Amino acid sequence: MIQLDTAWLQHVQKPARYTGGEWNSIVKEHNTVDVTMALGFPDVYEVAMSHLGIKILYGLMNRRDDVAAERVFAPWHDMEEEMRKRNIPLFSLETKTPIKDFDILGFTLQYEMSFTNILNMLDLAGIPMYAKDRNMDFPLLVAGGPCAFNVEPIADFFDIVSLGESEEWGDEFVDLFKAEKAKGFPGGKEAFLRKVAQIPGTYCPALYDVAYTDTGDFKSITPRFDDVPATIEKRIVEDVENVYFPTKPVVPFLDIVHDRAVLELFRGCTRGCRFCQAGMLYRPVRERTPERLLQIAKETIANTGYNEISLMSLSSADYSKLPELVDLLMEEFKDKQVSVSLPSLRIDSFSIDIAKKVQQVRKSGLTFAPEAGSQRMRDVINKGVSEEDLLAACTNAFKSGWNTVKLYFMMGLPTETDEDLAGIADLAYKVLDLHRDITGKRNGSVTVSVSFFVPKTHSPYQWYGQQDVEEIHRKQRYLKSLINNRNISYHYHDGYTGYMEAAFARGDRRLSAVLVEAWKLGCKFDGWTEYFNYETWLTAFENCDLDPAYFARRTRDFDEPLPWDHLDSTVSKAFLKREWEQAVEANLTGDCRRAPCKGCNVCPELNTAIVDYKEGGRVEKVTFGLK
Amino acid sequence: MKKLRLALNKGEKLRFLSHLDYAQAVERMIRRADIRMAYSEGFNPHMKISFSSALALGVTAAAEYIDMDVLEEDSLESIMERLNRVAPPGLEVLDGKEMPDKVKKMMAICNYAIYEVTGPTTADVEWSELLKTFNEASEISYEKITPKKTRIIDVKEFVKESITAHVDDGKVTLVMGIGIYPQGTIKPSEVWNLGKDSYNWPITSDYEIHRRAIMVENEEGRFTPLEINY
Repeated sequence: MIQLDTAWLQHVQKPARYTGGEWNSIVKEHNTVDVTMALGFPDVYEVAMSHLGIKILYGLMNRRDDVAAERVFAPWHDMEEEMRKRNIPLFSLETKTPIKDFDILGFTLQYEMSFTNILNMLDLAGIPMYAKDRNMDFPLLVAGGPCAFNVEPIADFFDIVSLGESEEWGDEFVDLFKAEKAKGFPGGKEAFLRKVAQIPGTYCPALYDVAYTDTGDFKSITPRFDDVPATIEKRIVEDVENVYFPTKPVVPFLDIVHDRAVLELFRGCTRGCRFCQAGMLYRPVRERTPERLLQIAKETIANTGYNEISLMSLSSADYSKLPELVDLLMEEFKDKQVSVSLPSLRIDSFSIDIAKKVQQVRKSGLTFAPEAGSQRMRDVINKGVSEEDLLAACTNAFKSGWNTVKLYFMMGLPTETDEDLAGIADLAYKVLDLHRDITGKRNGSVTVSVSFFVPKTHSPYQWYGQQDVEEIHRKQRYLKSLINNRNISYHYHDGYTGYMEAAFARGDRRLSAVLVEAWKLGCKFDGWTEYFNYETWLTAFENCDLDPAYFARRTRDFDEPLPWDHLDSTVSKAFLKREWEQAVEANLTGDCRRAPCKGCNVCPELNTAIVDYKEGGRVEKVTFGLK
Repeated sequence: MKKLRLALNKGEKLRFLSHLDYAQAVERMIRRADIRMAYSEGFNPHMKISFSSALALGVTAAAEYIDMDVLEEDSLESIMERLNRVAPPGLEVLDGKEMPDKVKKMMAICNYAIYEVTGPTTADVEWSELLKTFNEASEISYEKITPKKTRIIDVKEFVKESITAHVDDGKVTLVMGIGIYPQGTIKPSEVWNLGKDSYNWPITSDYEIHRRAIMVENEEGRFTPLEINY
């Protein structure tokens, strides 16, 4: 157990990030369990603790008597310095056990720019970075989360990757680990990995050989053994209604980013926005019933003491029983001073009605994401929203007393012209004018936030070469020149982070060397603007003889093998290709939820179906997959 | 509605909570105990609860006091028990009493605190002799630096009684009574560092602070907030 001395600890920023002991945190004696597991998140406490996946895994694993699951997050810069100075290895929050002493170290991969933090945490833990340098005396490194779908740039560091939802996988994996541990892992690590690889949804990178062409392109990734699957299909939980959900989450002492109870309404989103990786990865839509959600909400509020509950999903306003649920929650909590919040609003008047209901007190601001400025561009990305929808939503909002609207857009989308960008400014002005027309006042304010589009794997834009940073910077200046009103504020970031993110989002295994090099040169917390250093990243690429433009900017051929083809989201490549073609033609593809199947392939391949309570639950209809 | 005054501790496990973190932990404990509380009116209603002080991050306390407006008829003992069932480690409800409806803000009347500051000593000394210079001085001017401004204060205006020392296993604990007045106060860490830098106390900048008591000082003496009725 690591001892932290108050004398120095009280001088680092927010020492409570490192001391644990929060309400609902679970401390078990390690000698009373069969398996010890550290759940890692490669960012600082306040970010890590806001993540729903960690809460689920923590509760899921600790509900077993044979497992102790503890948390470990990235120490902030000042704490890292103290730890290195004092030779304190990375430790867990619950029992202050060195991470090196755990059986398993899991990481959730949310964002490419957090990869260097993983390396830094391994270094602080005294764990060799490369999987090949670790025998079974070291913790097994397990990864999951959205970036697992292209884990190749960090595949050399991990032993096991879990693809898709891991509630069921987690138990299967731990059962196997426990049994093999009891036998002393006969045959060593490779033999164990071959057994793990038999669990559906498991990718063990060391069991595959990667080949490149003479010209240096990715060629193939093939299993080294006959019994190891060539492609790994993602896992889903079919019965979202009854699957484990944590109603006793750890309640932090510190003010974290999302400091409230979380209610996950449903999984998946089938609106089919073409830029959106999550919309493809988490299919199909599976809802929980309002009754089950009310039960979860009551238990969570009683167990935590939170005074706010957030209705979370990829697109919460699409929950088919939202009005019923909101009424149930408002009734339940009306005397308890518990407020209900909706993190994301759909652009329509209905959403505003719901927002009015739940936000009776604070009329802070409303956020909408039209994503693109012109109708043509919105059709290209399949964002089925019109200017009329936005103005109708804003009309309702302004009439109801809101004065502030935030609009989110992307820049650098395929087929984008300056005219499409001008549409962003145009929309902002229209919303502002609308506020004046409705309220007769000049105190309306519109915030325009524009991000740089990063093409992601497993989406229809997975082949698309990202636009040059210089071109993005020109576009940013152009848009800026069109916005000259003190009631419209325009926010954007420099494009370099988006460029690096794009390189890793669609990179292959060769990039692991770049990550190690960048880390050696001092890169960490790269998702934090103030710590991102573009020049250092370029140097790291150069030192490894690789070009970020090759990974980020190159448009791939449709028939070219892709480094992530073996990591199967179950959305077929043919479907994605057709979506690309539809995009270029600015043709819309409707939501399959209450319409005929569009052929994405997920339901037939996983032998599953949409669960939508407006349609009475499990929707039995003919589904197919484009091949 | 009834007003309860409770004594809570802030133990070692909560040492690194700021005042706001601690206040939030207390509020969440009250909500978990499902105690019906009075809330303020207005757009952003908050629980009617007030503290006797703003305990700094890094400081533990034997007792901190809260006044809370409760809307239910449950007994004091039962409310205390319900709270303790859902109190986070490091926080315990120690004592309490029912108060008249109108009381003064505790933060305005608590004007005296006793701190224990502990840290390693660098030399064996006769502390009672060594402390004399400080204890017997009639005035000690000290440059107090806050983020907003720097000003000169007289330490003896706030530290009126002698500081005492206890040595145990290479560590010294200095016990200091500090006044908290409308014109200001001095932090125990500032007294510690002043002794180290200006009075040759054989100590380092390693220290831990524990507040032994917070009190109301009036013409009749010093009382804990539970010993008074206002």
